[in-house]
Amino acid sequence: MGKGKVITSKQAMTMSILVDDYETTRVLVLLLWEAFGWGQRWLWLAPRKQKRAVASANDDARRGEAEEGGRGRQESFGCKAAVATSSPLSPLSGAAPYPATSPSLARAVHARSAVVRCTTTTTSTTTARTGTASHRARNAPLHHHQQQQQDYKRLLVRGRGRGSASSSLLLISTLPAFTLMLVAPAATHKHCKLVRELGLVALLLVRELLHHSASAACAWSGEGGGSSNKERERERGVRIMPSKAKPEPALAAREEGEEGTEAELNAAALPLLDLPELALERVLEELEPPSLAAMACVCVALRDRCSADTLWGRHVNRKWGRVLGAAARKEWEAELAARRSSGALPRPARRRSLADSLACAWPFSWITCRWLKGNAVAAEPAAATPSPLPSPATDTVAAWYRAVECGEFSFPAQVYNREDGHVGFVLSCYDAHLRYDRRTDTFTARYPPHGRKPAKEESGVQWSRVRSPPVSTPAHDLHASGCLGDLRPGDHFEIQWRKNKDFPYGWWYGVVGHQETCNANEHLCRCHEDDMVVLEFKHYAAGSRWRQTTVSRKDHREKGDETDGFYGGIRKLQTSDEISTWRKFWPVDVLN
Amino acid sequence: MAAAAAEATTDGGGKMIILISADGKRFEVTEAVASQSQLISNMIEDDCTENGVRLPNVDGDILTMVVDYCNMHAGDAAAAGDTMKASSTEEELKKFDAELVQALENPVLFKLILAANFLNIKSLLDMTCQRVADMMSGKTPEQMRETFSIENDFTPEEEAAIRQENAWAFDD
Repeated sequence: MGKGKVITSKQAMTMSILVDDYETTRVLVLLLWEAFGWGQRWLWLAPRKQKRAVASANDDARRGEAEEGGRGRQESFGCKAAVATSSPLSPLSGAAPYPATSPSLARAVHARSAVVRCTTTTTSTTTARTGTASHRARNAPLHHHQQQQQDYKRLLVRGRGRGSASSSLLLISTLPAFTLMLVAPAATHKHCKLVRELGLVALLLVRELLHHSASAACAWSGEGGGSSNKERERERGVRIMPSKAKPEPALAAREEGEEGTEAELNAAALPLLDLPELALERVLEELEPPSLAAMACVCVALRDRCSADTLWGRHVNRKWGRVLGAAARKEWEAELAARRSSGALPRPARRRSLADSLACAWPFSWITCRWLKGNAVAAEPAAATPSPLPSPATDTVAAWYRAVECGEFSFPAQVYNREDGHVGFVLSCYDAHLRYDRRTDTFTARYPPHGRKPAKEESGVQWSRVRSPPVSTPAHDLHASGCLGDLRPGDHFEIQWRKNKDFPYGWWYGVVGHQETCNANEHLCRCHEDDMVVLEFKHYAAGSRWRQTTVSRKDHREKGDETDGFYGGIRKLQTSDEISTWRKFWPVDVLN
Repeated sequence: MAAAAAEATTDGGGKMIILISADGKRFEVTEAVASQSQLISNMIEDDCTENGVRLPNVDGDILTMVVDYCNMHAGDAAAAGDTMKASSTEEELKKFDAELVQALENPVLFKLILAANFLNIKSLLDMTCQRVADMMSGKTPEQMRETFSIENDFTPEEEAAIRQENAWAFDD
C-alpha cells in the first residue's frame, strides 16, 4: 500500500543519517523526520477513530477485527524483536552509530524495513481494519443494515482512492531516493555526500508535494464535491439520508421499504427528509419564522438547513424591512464585534473536517489547506454558514432576526408623533431606539435626552408610527439639503427642526407655499424663481408662529432663534407613499 | 396501437398524448393538459411522445390525481379569454385544489410531491409544498419529529443549545 512506500522514504532518511557526518544536514534531516513522523501519526490515527466508530456498530465486523487483530499481535511480536535488534539505529537517539561496511549497512536497511513493516501493523490496525471492514461489507449478509454497508463502501472507496492515487506517485518519487542511497556508500568525498544529502532532501520535498497534490485532487474531485457539510454529516453517521442521495423517487420509496423498522414505526408520517431537494427547499421557504425556528430544533440536518441566511433574509425583509435600516444593521454589527472582543460570546472555531485536520497536520500544509478551504467556500453558498456548536452563532441572519424579535436588540429608527398625542410633536418624526415586544406586537421607544431633560420612554408604539431613517444624517447633525433649488409650491417636504441647539433634530412635515405677492395662479406663479422658499405647516392655525417660515434657496444653513427654534436641512418627499404616511397623522383639530 | 392511439385527435383538434404509469395504467390526455408538466412539454417539443410517455416513477393512483389536477387547470387556461367564465372557474379551482390537498393522507401527499417534482408541474409542487408547510405551523420540535418521522440525532448539548436559541418560537 501507499503507506508502505511512505515508510521507505523514512528508511532513506535513516540511512542518510547513518552514513553522514555533516552536522547541519543531519539537523535538517532530523527536523524533517520529526515533522514527517508527526504527520503520519495524524494520518493513521484520525481515520482510525472514525472507522472504529462505524465498525463497532457491527458485530460481524468486530469479530472480523478480532481475528485480524490477533494476526496483528502476532506480527507485532516479530516487530518488537526487530526493534530490539535494530534499536541502536534509532534515528531519534541523536548519536547515530556509523556502520563500518556496506554489507552491515545493507543488513541495517533490511532490519529497518522489517521494523517499518511491523509498525505499520502495530501502531495502528488501520489498514487491517479497513480491509476487514470492506471485506465484511462486501460479503455482508442481506440482513445487514443498508446504511452501514454504504458507510463501509464509502470507507473502502476512500481508503483505496487515497492508497492507489498516492502509491504510484510515491513509488516514482521514492525509487530515486533509494537508488541514490544505495549508491551512496561508494561516495567518500565530502562534496559528493553533500550533493547526495541535498538530493535526498529535494526528493523528499518533491514526494511531499506530489502526495499533497494527489490528496487534494482526491478531496476535490471525489466524494460528491467534498463539501464540508456532507463530510460532517457522514462523520456523524446520520441515519437519515439526505434527499440528494436518492435521485429517483421510486428508488427512494424502495429504500424506505428496506430501511424497515424506522419507517414502519410511523407509517402515516411524511418522510420530510426524503423529499427531493427542490421540494424541501420550497417547503422551508413557505414556513413562517416560528415554524422555521422550531424546525431547526428537529435534527442536525434540519438545523443546518433551517439556519440558512437566505431563508431568514426573506423573513427579516418581510417583517422588519420597513423599520430596520442601514443604521440598525450597523449597530447590530458593532454590538456583535463588541460581544466578540469582550469574549462574552466567543466566536466558535470552525469545526474542521477530517480532511482539513489531516492536511493541516502535514508539513507544507498551507498548500492543501488553502485548496481545501477554497473548495469548501465554493461548495457552500457564501451566505449560508451553518451554525457551529455549542455556542450559538451570532453573526447569522437568523440570530439578527431573533435578536430583534425577542427584543434583545434595540435598534435605531424614527417614530412619528412621538409621545403619542403630545400636541408639541404632531406631524414630526423623531429618532429613537426601539425594542420590539412580541406579546403586544408593539415597540417601546426610547428617545435620547433633550439637553438636560432626561431620556423618555414610550411603550405601545404601533408599527404604523415607526419608520427606518430615510437619510443617514444623525439626529444632532445638520442635513445637507440637496433639493432647495427644485422646490416649487405644492411640493411636500420634511425639515429638521429643534427647539434649541442642545436638542437633537426632529423631522417635520410641511408643504411649499407661495410668496405673499403671488396670487397662486398656475401660469403666472414665479415662486420657484424666487430666492426665498416659503415653507408652510398648515396644521397650525393661520397666524401661529409655527405656521410658516422662509429659507434661502442659495445659502440655507441652520436658521432660527431660541424662541422659534432652529430650522435645519430639508428633504423633498419623493414618493406618494411617504406623503400619504405623513398625511395619516394629520390632526383632527387645527393647532395653535 | 399505442402509436395509433397517440395520434388520435379530440374533437377540438388537439393532439392526444398517452401517459403510462409505473403499474401500466394508461391515461389519454390532450397536449394542452399534458404540457403543464414541463417534463412532458419538453418531450412534446422534442417529438418523442408518439409511443406514449412512460412514467416509471409515478403510480397509477397518483397519476390519476395529477391528470385530474391538470385537466382542471388546463380548462382554466383555455377559458382565460372569457372573463366571466374565468372568474367562476377560478373559484371552482381554488375549491378543487383545497379539497384535493386537504383530503390527502401523508404518504399520498408525499408521493404527489414526488410526482409533481418529477413531472415538473410548478403550480402543483407549490400547492403541495404549501400544504406541508401548513402542517408544520404551530408544532413543537417533538411534534414535527413525529409527523415527519425524523429521528433526533442531536447530542444532548447540541439540542440544548439549539433549543435555547429558538425557544422564542415554541415556548410560550
